[in-house]
Amino acid sequence: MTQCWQEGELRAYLDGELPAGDMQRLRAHLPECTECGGLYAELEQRAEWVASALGALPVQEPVVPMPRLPHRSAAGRRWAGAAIALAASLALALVLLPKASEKRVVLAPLVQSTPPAVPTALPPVTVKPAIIRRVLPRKKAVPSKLKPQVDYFVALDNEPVEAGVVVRVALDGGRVPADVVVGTDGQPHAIRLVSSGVGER
Amino acid sequence: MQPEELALSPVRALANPEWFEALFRDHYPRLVGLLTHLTGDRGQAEEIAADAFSKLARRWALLASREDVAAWVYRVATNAGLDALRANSRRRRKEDAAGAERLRMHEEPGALEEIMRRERAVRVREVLSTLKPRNAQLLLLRTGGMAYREIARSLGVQPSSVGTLLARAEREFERRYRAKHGGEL
Repeated sequence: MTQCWQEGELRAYLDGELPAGDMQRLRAHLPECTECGGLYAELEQRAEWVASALGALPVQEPVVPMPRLPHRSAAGRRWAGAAIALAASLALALVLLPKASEKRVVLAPLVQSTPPAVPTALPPVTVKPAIIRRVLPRKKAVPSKLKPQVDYFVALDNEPVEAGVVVRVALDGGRVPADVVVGTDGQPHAIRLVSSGVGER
Repeated sequence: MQPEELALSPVRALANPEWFEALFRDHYPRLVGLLTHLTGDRGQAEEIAADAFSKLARRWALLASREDVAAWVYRVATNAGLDALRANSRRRRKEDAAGAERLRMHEEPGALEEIMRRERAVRVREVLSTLKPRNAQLLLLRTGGMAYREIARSLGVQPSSVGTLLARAEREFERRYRAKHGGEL
């Protein structure tokens, strides 16, 4: 019987990582040694179990080394920061400049359709004191006929009105509109003049 | 100059400004893959890996006396990944639960398998976060298909000891997983 093998060697044999001579000798030893054979079977079973467990982890994608190298000097890192700041400024400018150029296009000088009149003789220059007057805002014009504006009814008698209808009538030859409250008895009980805004409310 | 020579000879690299770039290009993709496996977040993995190399860049004069700089980067990055995994565990559980609920609602083809895979991934990460960092690194690097020689270089150990370390790591992972979640995957 040949020599027995260590656990580490059996594990390496399982992965085919032993030197070629050791691979042959161990292969010949395993059938004739129950102890090494048993240990090898145990290692093989465990290795498969662990590989199955770790197989649940996501598959590794190929990784390409980054071109960025980490052995920059401190000055280099400072310049890198400045470069990033400059790039950010340029990016901001690219965003903002198109709007500015649009404004310039909008504010381009207009083309005159008629040439300006050329004076033949200059008038004498006279200086007059300027009179500055305060301009007050104009009040809103209110139709005089509708003053005072009435938006409430005036009772025509002392009888209380429990129910009735409002009838729009025209007084003074049809020029002054008015609302008349007509009761259930057919008699007018209240009236109000209607200005231009009252009837629309 | 071969990457392994570059990784193992920082003293020589002090006179070679391209050493750090070669080290970065050689190990950064694997490191991001390992951290993506560990955290489940590609963006976070890239951030952690880049941060580890940045730390190395600031300390490379101190590391010039050390034997293996790549192992230092892997250890720093894996520790940071495990910290992030523990910090994110609660948020990730909520996100995974929300994702599983969306899959249930939409009843997409293969939704059940995807739900089970996500739930298993959560359990696996929980157990990984309780392991010693080197054990977690070993399992993740080996799962990623890395050869023993590369694993040894990444961890700063002899290639002949990887089998022993891997067997111990697998035994510890299985023991903790079964103790917490039972034997069913």
